[in-house]
Amino acid sequence: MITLGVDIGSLTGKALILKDNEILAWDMTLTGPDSVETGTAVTNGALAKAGLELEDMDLVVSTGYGRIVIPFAHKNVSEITCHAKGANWFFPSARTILDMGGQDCKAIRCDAAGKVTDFAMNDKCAAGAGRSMGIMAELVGVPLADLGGLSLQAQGAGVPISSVCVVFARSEVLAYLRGGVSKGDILAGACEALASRVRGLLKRVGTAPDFVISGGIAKNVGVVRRLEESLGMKASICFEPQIVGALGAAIFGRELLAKRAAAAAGKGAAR
Amino acid sequence: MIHAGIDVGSLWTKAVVLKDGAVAGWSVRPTGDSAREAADEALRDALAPLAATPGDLGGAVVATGAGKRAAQAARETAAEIMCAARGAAFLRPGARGVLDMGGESTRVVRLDEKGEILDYALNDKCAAGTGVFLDAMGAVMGVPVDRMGPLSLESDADVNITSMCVAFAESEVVSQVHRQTPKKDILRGLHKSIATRIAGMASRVGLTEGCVAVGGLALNSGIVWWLEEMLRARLVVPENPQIVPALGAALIAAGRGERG
Repeated sequence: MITLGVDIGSLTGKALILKDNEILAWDMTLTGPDSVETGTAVTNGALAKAGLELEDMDLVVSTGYGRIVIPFAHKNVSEITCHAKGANWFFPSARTILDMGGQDCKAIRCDAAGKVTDFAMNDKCAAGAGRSMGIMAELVGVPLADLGGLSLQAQGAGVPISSVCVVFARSEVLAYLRGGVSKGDILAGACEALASRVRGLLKRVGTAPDFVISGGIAKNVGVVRRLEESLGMKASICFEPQIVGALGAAIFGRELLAKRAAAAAGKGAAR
Repeated sequence: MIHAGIDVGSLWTKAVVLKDGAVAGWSVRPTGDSAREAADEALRDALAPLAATPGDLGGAVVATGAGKRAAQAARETAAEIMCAARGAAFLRPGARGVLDMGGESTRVVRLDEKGEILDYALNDKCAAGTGVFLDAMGAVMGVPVDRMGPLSLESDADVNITSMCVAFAESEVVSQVHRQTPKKDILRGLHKSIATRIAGMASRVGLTEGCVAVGGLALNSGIVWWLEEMLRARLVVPENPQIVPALGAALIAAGRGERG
């Protein structure tokens, strides 16, 4: 059984091909203005890596911000469900999941089967989403990938960013830069500001081990470390935290097919 | 007797000088990097028509606004809400409310018939519904800020900006520009989005008829149009809405002087 999961986020699109319980291939691309094009491109990328065609897929499931418009998807499922399934696949002991992408942040609680039991979400305010880190990286003039590491080189806690709003924080950071504050100290403040927003979201659902982080933010060691310290828990992060949603979508597809097969078999037996 | 008020805003610094209770000079300048210098210079400019210097004020200066502590000439400070209320009630006796819409903050105040504050709400945490929102979008779209309001009123299309957050709305606007949506239509959506936030605050406080719009956003005809639609009430926009809180600060300076 081969299923394809397509996750169209606000900044990146991901596609993943699952054969039974094995990841055959995956691909990731930046989201363009057209979600259909993004979905097609990233799907073709994953298919090429697996040496397969779209027709070989038994089911295609889409998720993410642009999930509704993917024309070749048989079904679309909420990101929350997918992230819980994907995290459970990598870490069956996961009970608390933090997923943060460019434009939203979710705190999810799930059970041993990867079923969502509670969640809280912010998709209204950039201060609590990955975008804030992109804005800070640009402002300070460092690649996004280096931001977290640099923030850990700060003297102590760094400088406080007192504005909640990212737009106001911009002016605050510009003033720090003009005042000669080091990049590390500023970025430490920015990572702490984001971590504190995330803690607020996690508090609403409560935290229990094991703690999994997925989405682009998992690659930001500055935010991850600060969360681990304040929560007193190590975070489990898989080899590519941005594909967890697409994996969850593919798993959802596989389970749906299994359910359909079981129902058909049941009907057959009854006859 | 001369008295002065300085309003050190996040983007603009304003000063008003009163002579015997009437406006004798005023100025508006960008706050820039140094709120201290902006406050000094705004006061100097406002005093110029009287050929007076800050020394002639004898300390009769009250400062307000986000950067009020940086105004060296001011001996005292006053709350922004009080200054906006005082200035509005002076220009429009009997005003029942004020919408003070600045660069990085929005304040709405409900007044009784004597100009006393009954209730208020303020937003200085979130850029949605503040002037910087328009500044940022003007930059993205290449439209000068003073053209945005009039241009938005030329449209009657419904382009909704769904993101509340300015950072997210920016990407929405960029993708609308890419889709070649006419700028006036995008602008209409933006103005509606900002006005929705302000009108929400205004109705929480219970503003109805007889309100005065002040601050930089009151200069924007698109915002005023939407607010009048949403509040189902006419707004009074004074000639120089940006200087009204500074005027209020000057009135407070005059009042404190009288009390001795």
